[in-house]
Amino acid sequence: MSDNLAQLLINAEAVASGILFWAGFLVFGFIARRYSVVFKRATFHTLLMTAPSGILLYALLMMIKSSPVIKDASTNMIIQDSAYGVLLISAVFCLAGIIKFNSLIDELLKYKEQK
Amino acid sequence: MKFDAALIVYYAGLLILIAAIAIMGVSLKKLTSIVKEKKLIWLLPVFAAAVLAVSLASHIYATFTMLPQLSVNINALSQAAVSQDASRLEPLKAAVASLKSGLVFLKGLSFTCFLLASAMLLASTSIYLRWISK
Repeated sequence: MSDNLAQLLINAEAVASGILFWAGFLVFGFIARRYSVVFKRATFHTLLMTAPSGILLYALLMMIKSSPVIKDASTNMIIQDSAYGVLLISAVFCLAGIIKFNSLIDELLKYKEQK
Repeated sequence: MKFDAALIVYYAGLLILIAAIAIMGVSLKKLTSIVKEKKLIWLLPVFAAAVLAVSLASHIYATFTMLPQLSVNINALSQAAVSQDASRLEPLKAAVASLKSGLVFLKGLSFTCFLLASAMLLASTSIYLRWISK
C-alpha cells in the first residue's frame, strides 16, 4: 500500500471515529434528557450533548492538518496543538457530565430500592 | 527523554476520555438494571475504553521508543553516507525502512482502535435509546 493511500485511510478513520464518538456521546445525552423529563431532575444532558463537540472539532482539525492545503510547518503545529487542547477540554467536560449523571442514577437506584 | 507539552495535553485528553467512557459503561449497567434488561450492552463502552487504552499505548511506544530509534538511525545513515561506508549503509537503510513501516503500522493501529472504540460506544448508547423509546 502506498504511503499516500495509507495516510488517506488513516485520515478517513480519524474523521469517522471523531463523528462516531460525537454521536455516541450525543445519544447518551439524549438518554439523560429522557431521564430528566421522566424524573423531573437535572441530568446535565445539555453538558453531555455539547461537550463532545470538541471531539468532532479535534477530528476536523486533524483532517485539516493532514490535508495538502496547509504546507507551512508552523501553521500545522498550531493546528495540531489546538486540536489536542480542544480534545482535552472536551474530554474534561464529557467526564464531568458523565460523573454528574452517574451520581443522579445512583440517587434514582436508591429511591427505587426504598420503594 | 524529551517531553513535548502538546503531547502531554493529548495523552491527558485521551486518558480522561478513557475514564469518561469507562464510567459511561458503569452508568449504562445501572441504567440497564432500571429498565430491567439483562443484556450486556454496558460491556461495549468498557471494551471501547480498553481499546482506546491500546491506542494510547501504541502512540506512547511510537513516540518514546520508535521515533528516537529512527532519528539515531537517520543520523548514523547520513554519517555512513558521508564516509561512503558501504558495509554500514545497507543495514542502516533497512533499519530506517523497517522503523518507518513500523511507525505507519502503529499509526494505522492507533486510528483503527479509535474507530473501533467509537463504533462500540455509539452502538451501546443507540441500543439503550431504542430500548427506552419503545
